[in-house]
Amino acid sequence: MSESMQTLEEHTSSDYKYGFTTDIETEVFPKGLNEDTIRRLSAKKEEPVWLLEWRLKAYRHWLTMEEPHWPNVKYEPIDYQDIIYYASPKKKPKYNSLDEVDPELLNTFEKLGIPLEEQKVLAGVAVDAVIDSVSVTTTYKEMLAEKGIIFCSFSEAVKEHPELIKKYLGSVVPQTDNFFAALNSAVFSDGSFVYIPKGVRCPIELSTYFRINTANTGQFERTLIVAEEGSYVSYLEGCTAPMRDENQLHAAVVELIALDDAYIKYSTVQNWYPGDAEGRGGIYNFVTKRGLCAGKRSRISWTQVETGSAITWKYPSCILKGDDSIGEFYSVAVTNNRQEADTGTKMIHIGKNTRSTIVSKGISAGRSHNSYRGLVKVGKRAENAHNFSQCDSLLMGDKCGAHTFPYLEVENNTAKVEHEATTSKIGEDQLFYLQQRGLKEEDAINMIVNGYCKEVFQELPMEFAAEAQKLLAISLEGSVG
Amino acid sequence: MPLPAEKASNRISEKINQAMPTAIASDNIGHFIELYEKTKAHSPALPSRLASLQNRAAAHLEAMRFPSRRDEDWKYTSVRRIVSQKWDLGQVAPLNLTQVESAAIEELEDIRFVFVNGQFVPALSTPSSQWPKGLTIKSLAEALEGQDAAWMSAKLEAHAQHDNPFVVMNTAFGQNGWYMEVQKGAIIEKPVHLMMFSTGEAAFVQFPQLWVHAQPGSEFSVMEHYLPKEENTPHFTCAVSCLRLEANARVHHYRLQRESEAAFQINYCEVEQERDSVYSSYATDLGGAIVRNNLNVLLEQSNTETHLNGIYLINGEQHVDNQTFMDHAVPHCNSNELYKGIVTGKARGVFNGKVLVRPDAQKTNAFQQNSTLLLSPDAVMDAKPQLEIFADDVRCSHGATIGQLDESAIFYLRTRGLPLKEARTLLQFAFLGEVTSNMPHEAVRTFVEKLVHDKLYNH
Repeated sequence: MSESMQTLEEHTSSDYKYGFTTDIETEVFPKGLNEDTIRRLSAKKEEPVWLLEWRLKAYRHWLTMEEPHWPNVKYEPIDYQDIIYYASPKKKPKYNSLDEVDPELLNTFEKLGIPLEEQKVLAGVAVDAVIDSVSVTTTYKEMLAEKGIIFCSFSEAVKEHPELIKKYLGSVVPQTDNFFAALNSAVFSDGSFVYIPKGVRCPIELSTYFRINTANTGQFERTLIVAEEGSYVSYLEGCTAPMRDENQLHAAVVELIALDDAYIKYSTVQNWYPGDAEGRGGIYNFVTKRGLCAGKRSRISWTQVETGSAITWKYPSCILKGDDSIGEFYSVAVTNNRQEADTGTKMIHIGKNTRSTIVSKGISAGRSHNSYRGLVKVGKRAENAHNFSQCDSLLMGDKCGAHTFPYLEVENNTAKVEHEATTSKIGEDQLFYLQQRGLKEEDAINMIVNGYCKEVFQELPMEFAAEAQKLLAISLEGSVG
Repeated sequence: MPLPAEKASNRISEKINQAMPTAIASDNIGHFIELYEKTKAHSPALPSRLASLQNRAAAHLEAMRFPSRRDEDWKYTSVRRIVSQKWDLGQVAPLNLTQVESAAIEELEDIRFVFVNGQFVPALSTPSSQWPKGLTIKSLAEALEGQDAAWMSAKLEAHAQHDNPFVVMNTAFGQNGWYMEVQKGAIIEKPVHLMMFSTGEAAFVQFPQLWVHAQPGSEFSVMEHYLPKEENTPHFTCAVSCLRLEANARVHHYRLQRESEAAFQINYCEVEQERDSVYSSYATDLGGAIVRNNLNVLLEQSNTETHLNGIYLINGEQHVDNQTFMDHAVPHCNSNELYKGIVTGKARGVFNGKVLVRPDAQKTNAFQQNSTLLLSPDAVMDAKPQLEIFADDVRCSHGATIGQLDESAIFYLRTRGLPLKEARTLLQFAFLGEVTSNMPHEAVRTFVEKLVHDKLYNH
C-alpha cells in the first residue's frame, strides 16, 4: 500500500514511465502486406511449407473479411499497408549466456525493471524476453527441460517441435476466427510456446515481457500453451512499450489448451503506451485470447490488469468443453484521459457440470470510456452449468463513461446463471471517514480503489500483484481528488 | 403455419424466398405496401394532414427491409414467420354483450373500449355520457385537430421516418388510433380498459395506436388487454403507444397479453416524463406465438419515478422478447425495473434491458432486475441487461439470473405434505407473485394472478 503511494507521488507529473526507445539496429521489411510479404516472412524464419500454406490460407481469408466496428470504441482507421510486418534485432540473437547479449538490450531490460541476471537468482521466474519480433533470450530453459517442459519462442518451436505446433496451432482460434485473428495468423512474427507434459507441475512461473520497439511495427504475437493431463502452469505476460506518436497496432492471438485435470493460469499486466492526455498516439490492443478446457476437470483462469493502450479490445474466453471443467476471468481495467476499453470475456459451457466465474472491475477517469462486454452461453447439453458474474464500474470524474453489455444465453434448464453489475463513484462518506482518520484525500482514494480491485489482485502471482498496484496508481494519477 | 391464401403465386414467391434470402425482405415489405394501397382505395377520406403523413410513412417503409437476426436489436428474435405471410386488415365481426361480459375483469369498474379485429365497436363500449369528468377521448383524426396536434404530429413525423419498420408500418396504417387526455388535476379512478377481441377464421393484421396525455397533477390508469381468439388461426398485432406525463402526473399502464398461441404481436411504446411524474408499467405476457415488446421511457425533467414491471410465463413454442430502454437524460430521477418470467416447453424468452445515464444526469438512481426460471430441457432464455453510464454521481445496478426452483424449498414444502407438482407450482406462483403484487388495482391483480395460476396448473 505505502509503496503504491510513493509511486503515485513520484509520478504525479511524470510522462509515460516506459517511454524510451532502444537504439538497436533492426532489419525491417518495407511497409505493406501482400502474399510476397508473407512468403518472405516465412522464408526468413525458415518455416516449413505447411506453415506457409497455413499463413496464406489465413491471408486469403482475411482479404474477404471486413474490419469489425461493433465495439464501443472510436479510433482512426487503420491502414494495413502502412505497417511494417517484420522487424528483428539485426545482431544474431542466439545466446547461451547473458554475456553475449547486446549490452544496450540488457540496459533496456534494466530500465524496464527486469534485469535478467537477477531474474535467474531471484523470484524463480524464467523470462522469455521478446523484443519486437524475435525472441532474444530464454532463461531457465535447461532447468525446465529436465522436467520435459518446453518453453521457447514460437519460431524455435516450429523448428524443434513441429508435430506439436501442427497439432495445436489454430485449434482454439482458427485462422478464420475473426478479422484480427486472421491477420495475425497470416503475419504472426513470433511469440511463445509452452508445453507441459503429463502430470508435471511447472515449478516456476513462466513469464514473457513483450516490448514493441521499432517505430511503426505492429506486433503480431502468437502464444500457444498446451497443458497435458494433470499438469499445471502459471504464465505471466507483462507489456510495456516506448512512447510513439503514431498509433501502433497490436493484434496478438493467445491459445490455451488444457487436457484432463490440467490447470492453466494466465496472468496479464498490460501497460502499453496509452497516448498522451489528448489521446494522441497510443497502442491499439486488439487481441484474441481463448482457452479450451478440452479435458475433464480441466481449468483455465485468466487474470488481467489492463491499464495501458489507447484502445483495448479483447475478450479472454474459455470454452468449457470437458466435463467438470472450470473457467475463470478476473479483470481490472483502468482507463484515463482519452483511453477506451471494450473488454470482457466469453464463457461457453459445453460439457456437463462446468463452472465459470467472472469478476470484472472497471475504473474510468478523465474522458475515457470503459465497457464490459461478456457472453455466458450454456449449450443444450451442458447439464448443471453454473456461472457467477460480477461486473462493477467505478467512475472518477463526470466526463467519463462506464458501460456494461452482458449477454446471457441459456439453453439448458439445469443451468444456474447469475449476473450482477453496479456502477457508482467513491462514496463521500467513505472518503470522509478515511480523511478524518488522518489520510490525505489522494491516499484515501488510492486505498479505496485498491480495496475495490482486491478481489482481482488476489488472483495475481505475488510479483505481479505488487506491480499491478503501482500501475493502478500511476494510471489514475491526476484524476483523483 | 398455414398460408393465408392457397394461391399458386404465393407458393412461387415462397420458393423464391427460400432460394434468395436477400430478396425476402423487400418482397415482404412489398406485401404490406400492396395492402396499404388496397386499403387506401377502400377507406373513407382522412384529413389531409394525416393522409399525407401516412403516405410518407408508406413511402419510407417501401425503402426499408425487415430486420433479421443479424441486426443486433433483433439478435434473438426472428420476425420471418410474421412478415413472410400475406396479411389482410381485420374486419368487424359480430360480438355480443355476453361475450364481452364473460371476458371482463371481475369486480373491476372500468371505462370499456371494445375492439373486434382492430375495429372499434361503440355499441359494446362505455358510452361517452358515462366517461368521467376530466377525461377526453378522441379518435386520432380528431385529436390531430385539437390542442395536442403539435406533440402528436411531431411524434408521428418521427415515427414515419423511424428505423424500426414496424413503427413506420403502424404509422402508415394507424387509422384507428385513440387519444386520451386527462385534464389538469383530474383523478380518474376507473381504468380505461381497451378490450382487444379477435375472432373468425381469417388471418388478419391490426395496427392499434394509443395516445395518452396526462396533464399536470392528474392520475390515470389504462389497460391494453389482448384477449385470446378461439380459432387457432394467426393474426398479427402491430401496436404503437405514446404516453406523455406532465408535471406531477401519475399513470398506471397495464398491458395484459393473453392471446392464442397462434398470435403474433409487435409492440412499441414511448413514454415521456416531465418533472415529479410517476409512470408505472405492468406488462404481462402469457400468450402469443412470437411477441416482441419495446418499452422506451424518456425522462425529460427531474425528480421523476419510473417503475417497469414485467411477467412472462410461456411454454410450448412461444417466443416472448421484452426490450426496455430507460433514458435518464436529466438529474435526480429514479427508475426501478423488475422483469420475471418462467420459460418451459420449447419456449424462448428474451430480455434486453438498457439503462442509459446521459452526461448531465447526476444523482440518478437506477435499478434493474431480470430473473428467469428455466424449467424444461428445451427452453431457452437470452438475457442482455445493459448499463451505459456517462455521469459519475449515480447509483446504478442490474442483476440477471437464470436458474431453477430451489430444491430445498421444494423439499420443505413436501415435508409439509404437498405433492411434488403442487410444491413446484406454488413456488412458481410465488416467484411471479413478486411482480403481480406491485399492481395497484386489486381486481386486476387478482385477475392476472388467476390467469397465472391457471396456466401454471394446466401445464
